[in-house]
Amino acid sequence: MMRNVFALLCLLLIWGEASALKFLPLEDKEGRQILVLYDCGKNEASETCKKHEKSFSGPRPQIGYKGDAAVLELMLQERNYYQVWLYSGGGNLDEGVKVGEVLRRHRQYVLVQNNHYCVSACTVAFLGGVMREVAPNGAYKVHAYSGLLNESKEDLAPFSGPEGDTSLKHFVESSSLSGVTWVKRLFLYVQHMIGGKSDEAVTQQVLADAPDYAKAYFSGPRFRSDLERMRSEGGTTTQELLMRIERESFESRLSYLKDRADELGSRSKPAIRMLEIMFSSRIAGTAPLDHATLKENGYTNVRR
Amino acid sequence: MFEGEMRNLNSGAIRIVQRVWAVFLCSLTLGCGTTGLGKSVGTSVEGQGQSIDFMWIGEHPWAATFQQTGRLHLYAQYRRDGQAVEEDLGAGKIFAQRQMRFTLPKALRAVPEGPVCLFFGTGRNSSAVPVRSNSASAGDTAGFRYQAWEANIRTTSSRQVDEKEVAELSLALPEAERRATSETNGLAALGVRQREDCSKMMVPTAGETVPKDVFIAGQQTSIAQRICVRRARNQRNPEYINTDYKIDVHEAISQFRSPDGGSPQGGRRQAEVRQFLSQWQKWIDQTGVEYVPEVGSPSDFLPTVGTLDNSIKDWNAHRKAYPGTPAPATIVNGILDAYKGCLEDVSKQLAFKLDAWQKARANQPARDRLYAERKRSECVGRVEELDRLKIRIGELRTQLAETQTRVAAAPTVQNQTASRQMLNGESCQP
Repeated sequence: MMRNVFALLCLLLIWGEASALKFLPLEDKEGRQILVLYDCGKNEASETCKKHEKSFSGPRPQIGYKGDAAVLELMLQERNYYQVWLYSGGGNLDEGVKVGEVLRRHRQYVLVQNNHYCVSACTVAFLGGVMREVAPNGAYKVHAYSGLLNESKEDLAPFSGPEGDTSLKHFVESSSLSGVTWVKRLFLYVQHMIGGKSDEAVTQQVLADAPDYAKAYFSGPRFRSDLERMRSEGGTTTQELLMRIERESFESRLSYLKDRADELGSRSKPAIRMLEIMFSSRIAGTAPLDHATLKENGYTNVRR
Repeated sequence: MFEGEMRNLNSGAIRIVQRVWAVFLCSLTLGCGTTGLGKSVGTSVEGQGQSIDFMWIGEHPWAATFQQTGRLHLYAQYRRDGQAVEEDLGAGKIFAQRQMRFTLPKALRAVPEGPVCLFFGTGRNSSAVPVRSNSASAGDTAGFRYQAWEANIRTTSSRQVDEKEVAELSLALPEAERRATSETNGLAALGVRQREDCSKMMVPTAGETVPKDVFIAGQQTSIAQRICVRRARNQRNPEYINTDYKIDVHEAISQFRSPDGGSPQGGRRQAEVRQFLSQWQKWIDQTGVEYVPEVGSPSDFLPTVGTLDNSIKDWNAHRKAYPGTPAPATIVNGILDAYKGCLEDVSKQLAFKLDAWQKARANQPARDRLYAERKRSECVGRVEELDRLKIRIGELRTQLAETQTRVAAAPTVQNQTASRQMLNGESCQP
């Protein structure tokens, strides 16, 4: 089971549920070409949707699916669209980044239309738009990532069992590594998308200097106290505490980047601020960002 | 090749082609002078009033073609602004045996300069039909004039062009005047009468009103508590939640007794219980029908983790068989964590809102300045456009008056003689 948990953390950080998107070309009222990326079920009967069509998904070789970003790349190579509309509850974070990169490469205008929502991995993809707009009644909702969203009590039981300390130790080490990886990737991505000049080598070096989250965790009182709480209170508390570790691992590195933002190239401070806001809500507490927050922090750059 | 290129050639070239055809026709009939075709190459062209009749002899090599209604067209060639113009005046209709009649228009599309040469052809890009032999013409075998009609057409065409211009100007002038009045009024509403006024124009700026969802740091804790109490309350509300997962959070926490109250864990949970109950008591009355949250929606829940949701579902199933069973510690612990998580998240979100508003306020003077500059620049553009429009209105008025005078002074169209005139004889050069 532990192997499963680590595999989840390393390979499939989820914001929402995993599968793939649908792509619908259409014309708007003025006859302009629009491409809508949406979760299956928004435009057709849900029962007709294949499981892999319901959210952002990476490559799925077992069914011959190349991933949402690859599909989008082909569609945008084929023709240019006036706007790309995003309407999704999210999914695979890695694919969200890749979709955003494709949108940027093709210099797309990205819109969350009225009564549509863009949540989680979708909000990351959204930042790839050169022009980015959320309509007055569109919703842009954020939360932190987690690899533990769908864990069962049985999956979590080892943490409160006799080998709990080993399980927790492995989990913290894995989360710590994962935190560095994602802070670096998302920071460089967001910095680039908002017009900053990123320097991967410098960012890598700054993060290498950051205090090791796992070491700090093990050397302080948290390791023992968390383990005791998991043992005495069981699955629900275990899940809460593990998700907290995931967030802290990310937030602590982000906070370190913030302290050294001046070394990280142009637009590093707004990029860090955007990530702070996006990760301020836990995955079970998805939060909408209001238009002032979107505008003032650079998520959107188009005003109606 | 001839047929395809002929219409693109100048009139000299057209005449050369026509001559070639006339020589060809004469050679077919063993010399024009000794055959039935004669100098008029077996054709006769007569004008009378508004029509031209074309007649041919039975031996004419194109007789079969001429006999088909619609095959033969009458064309006019003339000059306008020094350029050669060719106009299709329409197809003829079979009027009698070997006789086709063409009804002439009352005006041409433009006012012709010099003579209007007419000729027959078998359609667009086709050969011109010779109406006189090469020897009887000065090189032109197909062109002819109908001067009685031509005199009137010049007057009528000129008049028609002028009348069209009057109609267009009569529409353009009031439209330009309407735009000018509208723009004058629009600028007057901004206090602008001339270009210099733009720099003094008042441009409204954004107000200093604090949005209703923005609170200073000291107020954020209370707001977060109220929001999270409402979210806890929603956990029991079947209007928002699937009944399998509903739970009366207040009741569950009120009944909770930590199994190991003496331990550090138990002591902490008891403190969290007291904190929750105290905040519930404080805010529950302000989370009713009038409730409008500062962040999120009125139907939001506490951020519960999946294992807690499943435990609540199991507990609800158990309570169907054993009503009144209190919520087990694992559920209450999970709820307390979710409530605490809600307070943390909402506090952060309120702080972000305050921060965004402060940024907006800090940026506002610069934005107001840019906005005012843009509005003043637009104002200058509008004043300049209005000035141009006023000049244009003057031009339109002058042009309209001149054209109307021309129409009034135009000579009347003469009644054309009813007698028939032979037209084959005289060639024509536009």
